[in-house]
Amino acid sequence: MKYWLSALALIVIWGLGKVCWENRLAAERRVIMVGQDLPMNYQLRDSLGQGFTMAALGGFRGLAADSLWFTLTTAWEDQEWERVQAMAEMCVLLQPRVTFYWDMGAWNLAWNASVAVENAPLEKGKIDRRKHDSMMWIEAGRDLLERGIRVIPERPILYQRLGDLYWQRLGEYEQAAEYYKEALKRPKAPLYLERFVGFALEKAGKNREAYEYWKQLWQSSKEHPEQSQHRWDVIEDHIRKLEGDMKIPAEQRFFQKEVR
Amino acid sequence: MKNSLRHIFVIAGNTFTEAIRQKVLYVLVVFCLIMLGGSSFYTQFDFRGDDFKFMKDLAYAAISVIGLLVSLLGAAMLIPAELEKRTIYTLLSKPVRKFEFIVGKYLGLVLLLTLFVTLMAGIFMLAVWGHESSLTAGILKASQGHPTEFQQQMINEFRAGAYDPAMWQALVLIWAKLCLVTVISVLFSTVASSTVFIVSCTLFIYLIGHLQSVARDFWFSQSGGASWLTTAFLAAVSLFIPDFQTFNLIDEIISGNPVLWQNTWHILLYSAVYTVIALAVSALLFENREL
Repeated sequence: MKYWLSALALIVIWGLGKVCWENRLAAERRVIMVGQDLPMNYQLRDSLGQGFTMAALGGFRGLAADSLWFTLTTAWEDQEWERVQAMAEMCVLLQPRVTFYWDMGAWNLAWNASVAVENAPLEKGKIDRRKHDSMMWIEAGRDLLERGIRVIPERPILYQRLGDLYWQRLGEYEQAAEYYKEALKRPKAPLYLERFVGFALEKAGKNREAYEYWKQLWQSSKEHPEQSQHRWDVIEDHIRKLEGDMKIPAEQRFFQKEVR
Repeated sequence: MKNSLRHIFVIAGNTFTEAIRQKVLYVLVVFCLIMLGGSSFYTQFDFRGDDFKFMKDLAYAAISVIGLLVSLLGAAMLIPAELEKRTIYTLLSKPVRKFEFIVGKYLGLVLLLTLFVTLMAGIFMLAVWGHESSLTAGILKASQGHPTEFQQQMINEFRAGAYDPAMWQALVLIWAKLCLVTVISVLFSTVASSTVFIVSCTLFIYLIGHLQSVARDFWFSQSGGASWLTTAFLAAVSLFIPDFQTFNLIDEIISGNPVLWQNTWHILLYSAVYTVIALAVSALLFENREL
């Protein structure tokens, strides 16, 4: 009996210290997960909803999300776009910090679903809603990417994809340039995005802005740590082309003597 | 003290030898190898493929599940077997104390888990590196040795994903979690002699442990509204059961979130202290047991 009581006392004393320690570890985990330690009220709401699911799945959340992704792949092959959307939503719910699900989920909606709807044959006697439906899928993809950015604001990929979406699906090139610029502010952004900003500005018809941008890029790139990787020829070509288009006098042109 | 340590190491060595002689262990290892081999198949769903997420998810899950079975069966079979075969009487009739027996058994099982995790980690790393090499070689072949800017970016991402040092952090966390499950299994085996009972109870604790943080949050946030029964239940779960969610930084590591080694050490320290307390409780309960 004495041993049982000693064991119980040890567990209770340790338990009291342990819960405080566990709270501290949980706070550290939240900082890693969302970049900040959220207030208790938020934690409780979270605990009731997705937090509960995540907790229940234990250490196999990743595997559960992967299985859902395989189901999504099947739905994609069968062109069941509502199912694709539902699966993508569940994947991002399970693993909100994985960029892949936001990125590929949005690609499935804004590109695959919208193009499939656009190209679908028109049924006789029905109103042509293809443009409207296509736009609806593009909006769904955009929404997914925007929510993804709110969850993972520190990585460049989702900004890049949103820029792609504005460029390729909505034809809003100026907006695309803005998102490429946002992507470039993040660490490990691909270098070629610097040129994408210029291309987008040109496509938007903002020739003066594009010209200034290309010149600035040419100058700043001289101090660029990865300058050997830069496509200098492309930048030079665009500066020359824009100077021609804008009829800039020869004496005011950027490349008078300096040519790399 | 010196004698005590010698006894513990001898028992640990014997437990390890005995454990690796069990055929069920080899069956589990083969299953794990099949799962690790199968992880390469997963990569075909990973369209971008830069971080080997699918491969890592399956591999970590395989090591966790099979490791869980190894630790459960190890503890649940070895200690009751000593009682059943009455070999424990020979052992305890020598100047070996009951707590030395418990600690020795636990360390032997930890040794077994360390070998298992190391072996599986080695095979997993080889699979990831092999996959990275084949992807990189494919790109280099397609570009005839002169990859474009975009291709070079992909190669860099493949390499970053395959040689990510955080993979070791994830494996260390899996190992620590398995060690904690083992000590709970050992604790149950000091009061029970049925393998099924020990395995069931440990699994039960394992599952509740993943929800413990939810119970703890509720317990801390209550402001007099809940009944005493609810409060007592939440307090019991919070006080007695470890928070297994703590180890789920593995998910963050796979997601590419930076997890500092400092956080990992903190969790390892928590596990170590928990283990010492659980072993002390096990020793106290075993002292009380009539053999």
